[in-house]
Amino acid sequence: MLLETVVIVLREVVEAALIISILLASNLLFKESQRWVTASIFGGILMSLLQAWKLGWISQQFDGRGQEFVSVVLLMTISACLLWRIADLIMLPARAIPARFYGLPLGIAVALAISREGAEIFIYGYAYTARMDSVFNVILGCAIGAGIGISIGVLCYYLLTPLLTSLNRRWSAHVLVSMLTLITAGMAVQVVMNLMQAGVIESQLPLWNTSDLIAEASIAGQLLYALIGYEATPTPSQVECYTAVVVLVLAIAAARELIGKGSVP
Amino acid sequence: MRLVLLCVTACLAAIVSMRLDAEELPQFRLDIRDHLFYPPEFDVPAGKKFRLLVVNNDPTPEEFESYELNREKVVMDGSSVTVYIGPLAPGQYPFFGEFNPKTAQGKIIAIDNAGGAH
Repeated sequence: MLLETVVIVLREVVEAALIISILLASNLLFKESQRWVTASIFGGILMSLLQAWKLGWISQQFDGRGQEFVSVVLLMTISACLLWRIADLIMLPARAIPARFYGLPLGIAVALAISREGAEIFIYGYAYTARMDSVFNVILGCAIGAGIGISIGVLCYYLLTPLLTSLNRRWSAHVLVSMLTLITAGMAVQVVMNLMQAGVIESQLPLWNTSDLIAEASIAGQLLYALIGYEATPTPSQVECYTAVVVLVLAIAAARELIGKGSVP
Repeated sequence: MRLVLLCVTACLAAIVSMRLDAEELPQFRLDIRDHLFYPPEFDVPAGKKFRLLVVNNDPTPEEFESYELNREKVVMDGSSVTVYIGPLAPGQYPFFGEFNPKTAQGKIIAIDNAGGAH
């Protein structure tokens, strides 16, 4: 029971922790955009509690497709915020907008990432602490799982920040844009998965199968899933959406090069 | 304007096709009882989309999850959910209950020319 709880909680926490740590690291390039972080963490926890509380009702909406639709809305909003941050990073030297707006996409993305992953933990924790034989194990397991997950996020942050500060501004922006783009592309893949699960778009046979190389259930598979949206058996439409996000970011970068040529200091 | 019209048509087409799907798709039923899946194994026709009705008879929530099928969905206590799956290539597709991974295990076996709905 203890080990199971650790694994369940860790899987959810690590995903949000990695995204948050990379977003926070991207704050190094902006002044004063830290202000939303604490509020968004609390907001995210509140939203996941609400989602956990109402999940039964959510599930029954839209012909039983409520869970998938909520996931799609959350994923698309997070993706939009990540793209906003990516665009800010690409435009960085040329644009001068008030610093407080830089923090907004980050705050929304952090809150929604927590709300997405947190709901499942609360549902599990609530249901299984109710069984008297397992109260202690579930609470201890949640604490250990969350502790390891958050530690991995903190480790990622403290590995990333010295790297970014050692590079010049332009190159650290490149590193961040690349990392955030792959995370966003991974979310696009999850949007497609949810729409297929809800029967809204046709599911297809996978294009390839790399389960033997890196299983999705393995630790490497889980980390790659969080960082680059790794999917062992992606369908053609998932690969298309992944590529579309990468192409979109490249197009923004190319446009920036074309338009902003003379204005770079 | 043309773009808006195109979007509306696409949405309508999607809704209509969803309705048609719901009537025509074969459905399979999977029960959760005492953190176990019943039936633990069942055959589905390969190459065909189908609906899986997951019914949770336990007083605790469960999450139906499968890496091989790329599906995950929470089933609240005493509730049921529908998951759309396939078309699948012939083969075995294990699934498990994420909240009770030790006991709640099963697999879908996609075979050519398997029987219809259960």
